[in-house]
Amino acid sequence: MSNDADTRKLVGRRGFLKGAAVAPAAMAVSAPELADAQTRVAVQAAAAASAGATAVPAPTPEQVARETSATPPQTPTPTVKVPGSDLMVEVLKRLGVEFCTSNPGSSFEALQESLVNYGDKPNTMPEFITCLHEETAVDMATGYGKAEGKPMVALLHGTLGLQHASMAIYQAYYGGVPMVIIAGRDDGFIQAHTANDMAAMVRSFTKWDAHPKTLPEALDVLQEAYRQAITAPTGPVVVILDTEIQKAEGAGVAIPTYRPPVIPGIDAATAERLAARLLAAKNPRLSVGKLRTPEGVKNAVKLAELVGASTATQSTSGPMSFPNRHPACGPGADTAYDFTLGLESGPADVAMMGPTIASIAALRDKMGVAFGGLRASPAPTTAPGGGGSKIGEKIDIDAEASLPALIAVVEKAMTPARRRAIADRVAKNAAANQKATVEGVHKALEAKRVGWNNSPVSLGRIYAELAPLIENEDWCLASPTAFSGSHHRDLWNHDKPYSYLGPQPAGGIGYGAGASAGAGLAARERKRIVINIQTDGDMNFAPGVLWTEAHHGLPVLSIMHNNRAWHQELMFLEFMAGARGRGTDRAHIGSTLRDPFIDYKKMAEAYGVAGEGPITDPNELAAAFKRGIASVKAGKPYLIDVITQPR
Amino acid sequence: MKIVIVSILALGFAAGGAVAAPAGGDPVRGKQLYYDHGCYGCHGYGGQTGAWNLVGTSSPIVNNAQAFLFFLRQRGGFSPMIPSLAMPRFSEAALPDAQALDIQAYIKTFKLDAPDVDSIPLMGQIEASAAKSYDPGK
Ligand code: HEC
Ligand SMILES: Cc1ncc(C[n+]2csc(CCOP(=O)(O)OP(=O)(O)O)c2C)c(N)n1
Ligand SMILES: [Mg+2]
Repeated sequence: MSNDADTRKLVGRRGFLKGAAVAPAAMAVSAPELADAQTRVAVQAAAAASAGATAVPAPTPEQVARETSATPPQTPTPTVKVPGSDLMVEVLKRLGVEFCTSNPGSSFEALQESLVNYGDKPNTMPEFITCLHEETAVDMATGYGKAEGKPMVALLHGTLGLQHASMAIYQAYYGGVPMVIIAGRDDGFIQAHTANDMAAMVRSFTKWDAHPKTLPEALDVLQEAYRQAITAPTGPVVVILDTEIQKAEGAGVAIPTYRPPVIPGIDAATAERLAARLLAAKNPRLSVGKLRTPEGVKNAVKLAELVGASTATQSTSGPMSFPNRHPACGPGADTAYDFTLGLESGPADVAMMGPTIASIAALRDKMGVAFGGLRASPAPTTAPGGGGSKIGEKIDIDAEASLPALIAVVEKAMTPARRRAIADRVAKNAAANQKATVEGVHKALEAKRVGWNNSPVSLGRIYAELAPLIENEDWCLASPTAFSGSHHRDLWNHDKPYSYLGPQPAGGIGYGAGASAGAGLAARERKRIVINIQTDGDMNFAPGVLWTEAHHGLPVLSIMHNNRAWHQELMFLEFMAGARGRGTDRAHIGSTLRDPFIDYKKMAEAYGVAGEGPITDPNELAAAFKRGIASVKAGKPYLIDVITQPR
Repeated sequence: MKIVIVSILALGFAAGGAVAAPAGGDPVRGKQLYYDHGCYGCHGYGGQTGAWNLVGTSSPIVNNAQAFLFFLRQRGGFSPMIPSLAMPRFSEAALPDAQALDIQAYIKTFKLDAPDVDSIPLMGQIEASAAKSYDPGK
């Protein structure tokens, strides 16, 4: 066995310690040393077991000192020619991973060092994004993943980081949001920060996980993790990286060639059959749900234009759907559709429905937790993308992966006569849809004018004031909007795959602020701006995200929907108290944010974000919004505190 | 929905018999009570936003003292005749008649704040924008 091959083996930290004492220079760890280290681990484990199940070794004073004081790492780090973690970063670079959100931890100090120092352009692709809470790190990956349809990395510190991040991971799972979560593991250091099977804590709500034992395996695993994350059903995946592998000798270890995943689409015969039905139809329709990536949206538009179909969209309720003011989008000139094709959505005569997270939930949930909404049986699932609407024939296949084949057949079957008939239909549909849009907007404004001059400010007014100001901007509305009335649905033009990123995937509060910052990562290099209608309860779970926005220059405009309450809960409590006949005058206890009120302008300023407010006069909104948009366009996040009506 | 409530109220009166005619309340006290009892929570500070509009309505529940009191007492699942259970019940113990009527007096001071769509330039802008033809390049 050559030295290079030797170093590919898992190099135990204890092996390092022993070897380092003899020869502190570059070295390969021999098999006997490894065996020795393993024996000692086994002896320790046996001792712990005999002392009873709860006898987990407490951190030694030295360990605590290292983790809590300025004491630098005491473990002699072997000198290696090529740090293993450099190769890990190289793999991420080649995958095109743009960002790595993280709160620092010794379990990945080697990987962090590579992230910030390795490469021609260190700290790019991925760029280390500093987070003040691991929940934020993962929520940011969720916002980014929703906006771009691709993964970035969240890097977490052992058992601790994973647990802080766990609700965000849980939501990413419900939302099928692709991301690669890396957790550092240092078995030789503080025992409480490690575990034999670390990913087990989040296994029942992640799509896939792996714990590689060697550096070459780790490089393969990172690529496989990426593939798993982006393959339908998309979702969060976990890779556990031991410190030993991060620090291992990488010289002579080759970066594996990345093979993109093959996501199955419809076969040729099905493509022929569906194309024939679309082309034979006098009045075809597409029902477009949530696709995986912007490429899928592009192809859905292409198909609708090719066959002259009117289209239903979900773009006002979440990302990756059909542009809602495209001329094909709307009821069309004639609502008696003779063939409707569903793309991850119904109602439809035939729908292509790719696998959802619910389809793998039982596989991952070995403990039988049976999370609501993802239970396999007996109740029909209401999982995201499942859709309860009527579907004549359901083809269990990813729609996005099927579109290229379908489009190719349609293009081949196109004749001049067909083209003429389609052009005529397209024009009629466009006129009808345009009319429907204008009428819809007028009707919506009739409703939204109520309370127009109210103080505190009405929520409809906020969205209305924003409309003309963002009309010519490339915007992304990143926060959930149900609590603020979702007035963008009627008033704004959702013409991008990322126009609106949708709700908290599992209804968890504390998500919006982080998701908006993550959308800000996607927006920063793309000259896009992020609009965040920020509820106050949500803001206060992890407000440190404001610092991350300031530090990394994220173009996020946060407009407080400051109703000084967890208002949803206040209403529930009022109803409960009323039902029991005990009155509602104490329902504010534990459900409102008063005594004292929180000053969000100051909060923003404390974290380095420019802010203004509180605004109570609706006539001051437009000027403030203009200042905010100018600021975020210059790369500076901005927060406007608006005291609002509760709903 | 409103029609249902009103007709059911009529039924309720028929069944419940006469209620002593209450005196008018005080809107100043009512303002504080509207806040303290959390009416704003579902009806907005101006009675126009949220779950149910209290302004510009001819509903007897808003305008008639007896109807108002009867309505408050019969909410939250205590009146199977009234279908929506979204509004809490307010028992006499929790919100005595006199206080309830103060609140009603305050509600009656609300003015509908809904300018004509045509009178708001911003709304004209939004409509004009919706009428623009689609530009995927923007
Ligand atoms: C938890 C939410 C909630 C709270 C709190 C609440 N309401 Fe309501 N209210 C509603 C809803 C919803 C309706 C619509 C009717 C229904 O429930 O059937 C309503 C209806 C009404 C109506 C009838 C309006 C009409 O058009 O006939 C009046 C009057 C009213 N509420 C007054 C009050 C007052 C006064 C308070 C405080 C003491 C209050 N509400 C608190 C939710 C609420
Ligand atoms: C993590 C989490 N904790 C608690 C809840 C329960 N909950 C649902 S809505 C809500 C209030 C949210 O307050 P805010 O974000 O200010 O929105 P508002 O209802 O005031 O508009 C809470 C606490 C939840 N959904 N998720
Ligand atoms: Mg709130």
